[in-house]
Amino acid sequence: MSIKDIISKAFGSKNAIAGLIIVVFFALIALFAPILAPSSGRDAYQMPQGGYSIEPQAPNAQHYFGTTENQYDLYYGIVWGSRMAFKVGITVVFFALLIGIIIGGAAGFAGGWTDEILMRLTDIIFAVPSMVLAMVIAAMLGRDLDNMMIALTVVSWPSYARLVRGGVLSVKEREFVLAARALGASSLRIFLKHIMPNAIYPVVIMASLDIGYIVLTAASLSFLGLGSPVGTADWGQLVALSRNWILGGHGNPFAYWYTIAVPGGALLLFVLAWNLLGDAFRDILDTSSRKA
Amino acid sequence: MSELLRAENIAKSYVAGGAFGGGERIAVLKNINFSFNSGESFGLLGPSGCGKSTLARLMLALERPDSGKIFIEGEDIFSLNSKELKAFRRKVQPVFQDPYSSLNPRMTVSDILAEPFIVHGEKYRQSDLKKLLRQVGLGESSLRKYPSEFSGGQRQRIAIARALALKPKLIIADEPLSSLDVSVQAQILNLLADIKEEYGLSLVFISHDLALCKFLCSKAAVMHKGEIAELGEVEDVLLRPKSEAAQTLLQAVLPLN
Amino acid sequence: MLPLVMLGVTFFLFFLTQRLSPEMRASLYIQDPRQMDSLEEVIEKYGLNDPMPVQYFRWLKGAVKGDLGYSESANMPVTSAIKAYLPATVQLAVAAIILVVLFGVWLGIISAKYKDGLADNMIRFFVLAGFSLPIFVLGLILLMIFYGKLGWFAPGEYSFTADMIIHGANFKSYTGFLLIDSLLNLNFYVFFDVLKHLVLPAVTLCIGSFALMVRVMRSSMLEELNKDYVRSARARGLSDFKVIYEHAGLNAMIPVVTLAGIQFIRLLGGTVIVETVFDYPGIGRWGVECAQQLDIAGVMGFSLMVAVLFVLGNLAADILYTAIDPRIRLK
Repeated sequence: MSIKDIISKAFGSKNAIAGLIIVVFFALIALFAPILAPSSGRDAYQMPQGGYSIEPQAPNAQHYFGTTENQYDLYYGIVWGSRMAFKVGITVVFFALLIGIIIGGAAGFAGGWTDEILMRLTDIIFAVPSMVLAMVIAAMLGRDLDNMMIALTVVSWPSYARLVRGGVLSVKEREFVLAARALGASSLRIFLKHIMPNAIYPVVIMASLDIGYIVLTAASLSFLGLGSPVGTADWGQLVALSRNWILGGHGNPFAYWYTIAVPGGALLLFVLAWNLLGDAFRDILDTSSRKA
Repeated sequence: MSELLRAENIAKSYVAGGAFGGGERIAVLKNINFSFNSGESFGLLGPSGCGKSTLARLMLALERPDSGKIFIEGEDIFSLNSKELKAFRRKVQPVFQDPYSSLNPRMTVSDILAEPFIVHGEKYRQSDLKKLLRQVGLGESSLRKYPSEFSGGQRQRIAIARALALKPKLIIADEPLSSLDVSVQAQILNLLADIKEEYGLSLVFISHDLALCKFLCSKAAVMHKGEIAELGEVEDVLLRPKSEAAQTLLQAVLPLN
Repeated sequence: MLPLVMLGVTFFLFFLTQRLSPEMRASLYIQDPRQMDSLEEVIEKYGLNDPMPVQYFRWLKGAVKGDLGYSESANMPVTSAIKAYLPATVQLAVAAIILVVLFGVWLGIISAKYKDGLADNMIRFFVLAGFSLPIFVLGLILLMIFYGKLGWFAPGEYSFTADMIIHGANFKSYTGFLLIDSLLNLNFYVFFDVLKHLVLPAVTLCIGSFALMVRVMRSSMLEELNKDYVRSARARGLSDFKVIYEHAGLNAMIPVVTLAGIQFIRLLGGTVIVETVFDYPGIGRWGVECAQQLDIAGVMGFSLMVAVLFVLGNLAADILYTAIDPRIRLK
């Protein structure tokens, strides 16, 4: 099945279209963040602090979504948080995919001991739940955005490597590869021209759809205080800032509902959109690989 | 006429199951001997699983035998250095069974046909590619298209064009018709006969259909369980089979005729 | 296989710890906090400035003997911390997996029965939404409603009163699992108190696991409903209920059992967040504290233990799978 077929089939489902619309919506927010929420500081990802009062403020004309504790503006956090989400998701998927393609490709193509060693390497990463491993790596590297992305990349590449390896192994036996060998094409040419283009594209699609999951894991790390530095526009961190206020106050248990609802809602919507997309594509890729 | 190919005492086995040894060795080919001359075509017959395709891969030097030798124009193809091997690749080209698998779906026809020239560092022009297409009966507009835009028969034509690009002396066609519709089979069969004539090349035609073999080949061998059960002129093999294997194979297709 | 993977995991983590100063790594080797007073001595004695492989093998020798260092965040040796925190986590994960299987199977059957109907679509949507809901957000919202507003369920592992009883003289600890111990002590107050505290974390933990369970049960059920024996059962006039729940349902459960094994292991990763949100004193919360405070001995011990559980769990799931699926057994 060609990519065109897959895409046209995937968007035959209403869920996938809904997912796409939401993703595009967030992408626009991310793209136009400097216009939607102009920053005054040097680092736009650093949320400005409007005062030193601990108590969050309810949504008002100045703060459309209200403020968190320590007066971080939620609107600013959501807008720049969208940009942050794409930044983290795309960076991590890109590097994890790159490593996965190189290692999975080498393992599948070379076979033998190379394959054995590289696959045992993925076993090692798989031996610890990815959330736990990412947490431990992030902690030891230190609280920093780059370190968080490194931790997420380290835990993400093995599954891509395995998928690429599987693809390479199945393409390797196809007759066009034999035909190229019979022509006298070099191993490098066969690998780059014949095997890889046919082995990686389902993996690339799957990996791109993992952006939602990556952002969720990143948010979890930030929530635990092991991700982005204090004050970064990051949805996970905004949720963490609501922890002290979920029991409400002034006789109203829901007095500070916006501190959790706003960043939590953004995160839910973002992840849900990617999952809606992912679901549609996974169904199709599964069936098409079964038929092949 | 000079001898083109000679196979001597070829034996090949695979280890079945158990990636870490301990698996059983299964003999796929035993004691294979045959030869034919330039310009002659050779039919390799037998039911599926008799080792025909393995033999084809050996003749293409894509795999090595456990023992035995194959000579092309007097040269042992399993002891060539890399330069000689490249020269051998120009002489012997394959056409595979499944045209849906033998063309890279991510390459245009133009890329596919240009690959032989690129691999061998030869200059080529668009007109060379177009000529190849014409020879297999396809239009020039096909160059920009991808394999998925063609029918099975058309794809097999493209595969044949690719095999012809380097002007080989021998084409090894491994069941080139068996995955095509019956109506298309005759066209491809005629195409193979035509190019054989035009290029003066030899053909190893692997099939389980004796009648097709008769149309193209002068010599034939019937294989059974990895061994050659019968070898000789195609007429003799077809009309006066001595071995039981050849008789069974013949009977299997008789009702169709 | 298992030892090799464990060697790899520990080597990798140990390699990471090398980024930290010898002072911070000293806790890996001590058993008593008083040793920290003479830090220089510890660094000298355990060669914390030696080349990394040398240090690794020295640490490994100790680890094999069960000597995993002293966890500063738990104020006890790592092995004691694991013993203290693990039962609560296992209790939580078991409760969650029971919910996942019960509701997952039920929803899967309904989804299959009304394939492509309203119920099916709604279930599939909500299951996906649950899968997308960050568990820390869900946990906080549940706390807001059920603790803040309604006051039904509180965070923690048990109430203050139960705490007094558990640590009182008459309460004997047999297994470390409070649900079992309280029954053995015939103390139903503690039993229900602990059970009540388990509700919110277990619900939060399991919400993300429904997606896969429902999907697998649904497709397995659909496959089963199309088989000849189900059709003939229907033809014989058996009621839908009987056909679905007694005949098809049981056979469709086979992949579910395997999946439950795998999900159980996956839940362990989720406990890290759930236990933190609900202030539930299990291994996950301890792990987070270790990571936050850079308690290196704790981090190493925690990840080592999770890895062992994870690998053993996967192994058990494999065995379970071959044991119950006759098709595989025959091979």
